[in-house]
Amino acid sequence: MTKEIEKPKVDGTETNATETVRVIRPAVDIQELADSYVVRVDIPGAEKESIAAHISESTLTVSAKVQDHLQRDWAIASETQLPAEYRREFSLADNVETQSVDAAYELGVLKITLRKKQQFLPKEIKIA
Amino acid sequence: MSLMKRNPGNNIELWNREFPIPQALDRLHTEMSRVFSDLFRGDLAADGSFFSGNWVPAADVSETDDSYIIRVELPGMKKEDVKITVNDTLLTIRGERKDETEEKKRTYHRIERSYGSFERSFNLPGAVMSGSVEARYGNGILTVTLQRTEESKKKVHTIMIK
Repeated sequence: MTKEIEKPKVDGTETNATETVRVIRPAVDIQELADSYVVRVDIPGAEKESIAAHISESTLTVSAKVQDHLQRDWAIASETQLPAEYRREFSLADNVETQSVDAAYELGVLKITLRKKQQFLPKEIKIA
Repeated sequence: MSLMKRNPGNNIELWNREFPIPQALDRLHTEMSRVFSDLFRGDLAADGSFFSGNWVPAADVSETDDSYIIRVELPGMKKEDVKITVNDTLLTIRGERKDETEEKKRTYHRIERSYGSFERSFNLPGAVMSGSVEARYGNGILTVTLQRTEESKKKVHTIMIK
């Protein structure tokens, strides 16, 4: 779960066919609990509807488009604000159950809960 | 034991992969200009990465003809945990971002988000009308709007050509 896919991941700009987008790498916390992983991603300014999270057998991708992102600078109102997109991708460990994932968005923070597969959970051994 | 031949090309490749050079330069440039503008604004601790210690949230300050707008990124914070004060032309925002984890026993694989208290002050470029301050908080972004006084509003004079 903890590994991040190695690819250009610093903030930057990207141009596709239709528009230029500022790509932002959001800050994350990844916490491991006994039976799950909790991923928290800071995506301030994003509307719930603009957030996309995808999970496959081996990767988790999170992205969110923001129309009006902070320039993070002292700036006199500029009219040429680029639309921005938060984006980050993680490779998943074998013990992640990809069928049941919870995601909640509140106050600019996306919280994703990934459960561990049953066979990887600690088992109690009964003494006969 | 054999000494490994050092291949200088390797380092460059690694650097390239992690930080594509044009982007890295771009970033450096942004960072530098920010540091300089902060120095001149007397807003030294603009970013925790340069002046370690307390966490400092990112902010934008902009102005329109009749107001100043300050926007601060405060993801994960509740309205109640933020305090805003205006003293003449000094706007101060302080608050605390609480650790929201539910279990004490935990293993972290990554901690990039900041926690704890912060304080950030902004010296406004001109006078504002007291009692005209409006603050909104949504989706992790705090927006403070202050109305400028008549005197501090932009005055545009047309210069007569004789």
